[in-house]
Amino acid sequence: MTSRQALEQAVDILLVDLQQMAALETSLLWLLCENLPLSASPARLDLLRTLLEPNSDLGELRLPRTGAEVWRAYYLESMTDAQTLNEGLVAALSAERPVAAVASTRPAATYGQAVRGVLDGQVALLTHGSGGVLLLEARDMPKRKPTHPVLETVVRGPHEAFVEDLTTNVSLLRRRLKDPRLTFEAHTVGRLTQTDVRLCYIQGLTNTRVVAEARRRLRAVSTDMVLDSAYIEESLMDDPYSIFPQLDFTERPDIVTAGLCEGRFAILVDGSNAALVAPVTFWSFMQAADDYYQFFYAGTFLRLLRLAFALIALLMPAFYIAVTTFHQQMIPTALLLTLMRAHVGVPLPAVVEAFIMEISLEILREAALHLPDKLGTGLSVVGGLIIGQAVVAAGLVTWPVVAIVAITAIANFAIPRWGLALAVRLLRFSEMVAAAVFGLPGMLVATAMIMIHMVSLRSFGLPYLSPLAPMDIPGLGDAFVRSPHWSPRPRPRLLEPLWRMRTRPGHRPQPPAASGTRGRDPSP
Amino acid sequence: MREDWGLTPYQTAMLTLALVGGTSVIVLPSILAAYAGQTAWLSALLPLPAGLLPLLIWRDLDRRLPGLTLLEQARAVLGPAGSIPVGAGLIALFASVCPAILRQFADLISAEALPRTPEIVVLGLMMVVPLYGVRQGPEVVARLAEILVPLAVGALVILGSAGLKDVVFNHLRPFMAQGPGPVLQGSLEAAAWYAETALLTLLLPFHGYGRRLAITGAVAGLLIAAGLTAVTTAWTVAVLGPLAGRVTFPIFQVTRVTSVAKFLTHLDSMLVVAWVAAGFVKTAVWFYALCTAVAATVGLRDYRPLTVPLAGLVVVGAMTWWASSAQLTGWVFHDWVFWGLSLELGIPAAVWIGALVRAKAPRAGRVTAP
Amino acid sequence: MKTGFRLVAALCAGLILAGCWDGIVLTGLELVTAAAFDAAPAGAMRVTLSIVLPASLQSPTGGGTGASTNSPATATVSAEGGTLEEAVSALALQLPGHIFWGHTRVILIGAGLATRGIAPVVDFLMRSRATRLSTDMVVTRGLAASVLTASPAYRTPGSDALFDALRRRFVARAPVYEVAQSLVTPTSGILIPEVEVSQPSPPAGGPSGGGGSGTTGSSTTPTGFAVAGAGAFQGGRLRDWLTQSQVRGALWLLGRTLESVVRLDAPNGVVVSVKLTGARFNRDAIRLPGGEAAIQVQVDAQDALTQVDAGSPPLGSAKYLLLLSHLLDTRIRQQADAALSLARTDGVDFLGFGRLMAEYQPVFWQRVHTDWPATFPEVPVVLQVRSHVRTTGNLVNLP
Repeated sequence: MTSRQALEQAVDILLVDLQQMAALETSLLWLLCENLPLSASPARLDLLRTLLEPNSDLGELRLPRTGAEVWRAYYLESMTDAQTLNEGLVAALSAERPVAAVASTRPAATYGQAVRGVLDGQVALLTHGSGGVLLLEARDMPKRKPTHPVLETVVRGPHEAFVEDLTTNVSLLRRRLKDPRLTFEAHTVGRLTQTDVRLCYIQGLTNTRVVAEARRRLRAVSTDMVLDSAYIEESLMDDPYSIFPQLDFTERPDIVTAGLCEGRFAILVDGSNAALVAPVTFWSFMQAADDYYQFFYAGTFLRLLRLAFALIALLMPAFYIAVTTFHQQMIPTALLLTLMRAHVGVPLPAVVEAFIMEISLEILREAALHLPDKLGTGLSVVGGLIIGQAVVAAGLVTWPVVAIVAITAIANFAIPRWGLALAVRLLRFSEMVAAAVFGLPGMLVATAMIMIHMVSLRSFGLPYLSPLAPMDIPGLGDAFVRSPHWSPRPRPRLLEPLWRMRTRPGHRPQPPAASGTRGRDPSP
Repeated sequence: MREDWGLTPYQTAMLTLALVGGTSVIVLPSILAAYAGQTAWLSALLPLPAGLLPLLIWRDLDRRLPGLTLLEQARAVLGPAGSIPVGAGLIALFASVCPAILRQFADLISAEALPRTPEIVVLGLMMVVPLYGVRQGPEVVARLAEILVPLAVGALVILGSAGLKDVVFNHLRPFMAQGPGPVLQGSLEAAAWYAETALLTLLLPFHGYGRRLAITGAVAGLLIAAGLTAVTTAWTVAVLGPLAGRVTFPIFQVTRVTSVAKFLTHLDSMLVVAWVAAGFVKTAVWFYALCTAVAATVGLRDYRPLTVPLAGLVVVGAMTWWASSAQLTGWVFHDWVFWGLSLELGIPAAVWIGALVRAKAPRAGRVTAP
Repeated sequence: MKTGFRLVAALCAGLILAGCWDGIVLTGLELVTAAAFDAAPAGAMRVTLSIVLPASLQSPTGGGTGASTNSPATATVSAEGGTLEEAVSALALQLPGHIFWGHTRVILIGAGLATRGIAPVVDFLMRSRATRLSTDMVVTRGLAASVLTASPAYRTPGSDALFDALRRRFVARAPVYEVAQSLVTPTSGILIPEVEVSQPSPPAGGPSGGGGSGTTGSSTTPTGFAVAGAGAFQGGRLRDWLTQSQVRGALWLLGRTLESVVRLDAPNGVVVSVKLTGARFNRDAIRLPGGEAAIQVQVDAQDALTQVDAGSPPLGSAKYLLLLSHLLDTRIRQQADAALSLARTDGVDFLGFGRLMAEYQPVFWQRVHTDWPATFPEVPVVLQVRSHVRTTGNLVNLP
């Protein structure tokens, strides 16, 4: 190695080191200045510029004032509205008596606040003499208009869904709930992403202990980034290992509003179009918004139907396996012969067949999720063909298993909330294994274990299976059935809401003649 | 260790129903029919006082020493030294009966669904659920009872009523053919079952709605259990006639006779599974009693570390103490009555007498436990 | 929570490691559709089973649907053994699969075994867990195995409708558990239907002694068997055979109905057919005015006149209908008396009178139950029959 080469190498290493040192220096400077109060000294004001230096789209305005005085403004070109900047700031401030024509102004106290404001799309205005920094609203960020919900569609009822923008979401809630006690508590989560999070609840209705617990857990969330409400959901759970969802996520503002009015709280996360609602119970996941928009008979019927579907989705393949391998005496003779006929020439036991079918169905489902719509139709044709015909023709799987798995899959789709549907999908496999080894007793043990887990589970202190266990008979009116809106419905008792009744008793509508006790006869 | 919860009256009723009815419904009918034949159903109703007695004792003890379990009351009344025999007696009772219950359910599962599966595997399988439940605490057991017991009873009623057309009411005649002797003998057997309410002295102190409602719930559960046993006994006698006293697990033989809607026959496996769900609750209550009794005697504040080793011992005991299911039936038939009845009634009575002698005055109102 | 997690994980691992002991693949089942038990020489037992042939399940049409039309073929296998269970385990060695009793529809008992005693068969069926206790038992005059082999009807599985049709002809059904009940009370007897291989007889028939009136078209049945009567059993042993009409008489006394058609020869050359549509029974044991215990059977039969064969009866007249009813009463009484006298001469209480005595006259029963077979023929029987012709069909004979 020549000395020249060695020198070059040394310079390279030194360069890298220097770059790293520069990076460290920037980081260190940020950490030091974050909580430093702003001050009027010119050197300190240059510090703001230094802190914002890494942003290549940093814009700087110099607004000459009387004398040597120059006001300066920093902003990010990519995030501010040029028109507001021109008319509201440059034109207005150049006038004799400067009045910034913007939506809001807010003084910043520290360097950190000033820099964050700029990064958030505001304009930082440095007025010379006062030494303060004003943050002026001039944001122009890409945002979606509220559209139809994607997951939770309804037949009747509002077709409006949350979007990724927090302020829009807050306004969607405010529009539905015009009570001064509705509170949006601001929190910031995520060291890097600095995501805005709003904890909302109704003061004087939601139990303060529940709110305090939510606040505590929200503050305890420790993470670098929060890209969606899902990121903090796992940190908020009572039992982080449980397979069951303990916070409801919904993209429907009406569901959140209903939750707030029941004495629950909601968490909105900037950048996420799904709000979290808690404390919830198992039954919350079995309810769809439609239940409340349909007539209550229909709502009740759908609810019971859905419960049956959930049971089918959980137990049906396991039951088929158990009955065909262990309890053949239970099958009616004619059906047994049909099943035996189907099994001639199929060498695999029922459990393996069921697993083949379930897994291939899962593959299809997963593949369909990641394909664009146009390819998706092709996939469904191929998948339908494979599942419907080829597997049977190849002698791998029998027709009854195909039917069972298909019914199970459809039943699984009928579970209204995605989180629970996923849990049921996973638990189905454990039921199948238990059924394959021990038949119905095995299924019983597996189900009992799930049951024990569910009764011991809590969501922010609310027992997961309430009002069924512990039993709360008035509360059952909103679990298995959907009682009419005029009926005297209490809020869930175990939520311990600060006032209990939603509707007062005695509001059942009736024709005027029927209220004869008033003694008023409409006819003369 | 005190749990921060309260038993609702409904939970108390369901726990009592599972505790008493869990095995009495499946085992008692054939025992009673063997004694009292056509009048066996009366034998299922007569011994109700035996079930009420521990509850009355508990009510009075709880007035004197509120909020304490029987073991803690024994300690308060008899002192640490005096409570040792009480603890030992309770442990002897629980440790002998817990394996018997487990074995009964395992035998049932073996006979009806898994005849070739090794006994130890079935026993282990049946123990897993009570173990998990008890580890989660008595609150979870109570909630489990609340859900599973109505389901089990519902299945029994639905599948049982399918056999309505096979019922021959004449099988229930004549009333007391052999005089009152056999009926009373049968009652003695049933009394040992009903006196299992003695276990509630370990659970009722956790009542959340006052002593009166707790007692009401327990009595309601006992009455339902006794009624269910009586109806099942009458039912099996009416369907199986003179066979009722000669079959094991008679209600399942009844489902082997009957058919639902003509094409669904032989649903005994379904009924077994539904009823074993209630059996889990019963096993869990006994197992919880065993764990807490051992923990209190040993001086542990939390019983949970004991659960796994004790569950292992229970399984081993259930495997080895009875060579065959016939031997277990013999034990239940002959020995269990005296063993169970004397301890179930004797221990609470002893503590109660101790409290009377030590003149622990009854106190009004509910005082929270220390 | 972690402990729960571990428990679940351990359970799953255990499940997978354990394997399954009791699972049987569907095609590994040897489905027993009917079983025949015969006596073999030297106290041994011969068991003949009809088993569904798996090969025949493969329907020629391919797919799983529509194949129920061609019912699968069965094969009969047979083995001998010192005891019943020995014979069955000998059969298990012959068969590749697992002998499955869960769908057995009928148990045939040969005459030889019936005389020797059916207790072992009943014991076997009650003790095993898979059998249905409502399975019907029948006896045959000769070897049960030969009836099983000759009559495909017993062996055709899967057709519930067909089986119900068969069952209706078992004039007195004897499910396993009822036979077991009679076994544990030695004083009571039971009727077990008797079947025979049906002869391809010419469809001449006619009312020959009222015998074949109940089973319409049994001679031309493709099922290849006919109900011939019943065997009277006491203490698990065959004591006597009953003809079809004696069985009918016994049914009146037992309080069971059987859909049947009776030809009545009324005065003035009128011949009508009357169909029994239903009956109410009241059976109990009473004390006669003299203090003597007696059996009382009250029959309230409802009939429908379904056909006028000859003559033109004045059906609009209440008196005439009363006359017909009396004729019916006499017929029923005659049938019942025939059965009763048979029971008395044989000393076999297949009419369940002992149980009635025990139920309604326990004091008397306590005194006589030890030598009931001797007492029973002496017990008086009060039979009250009332028939009603409820309808005469759609044709009215107005004067």
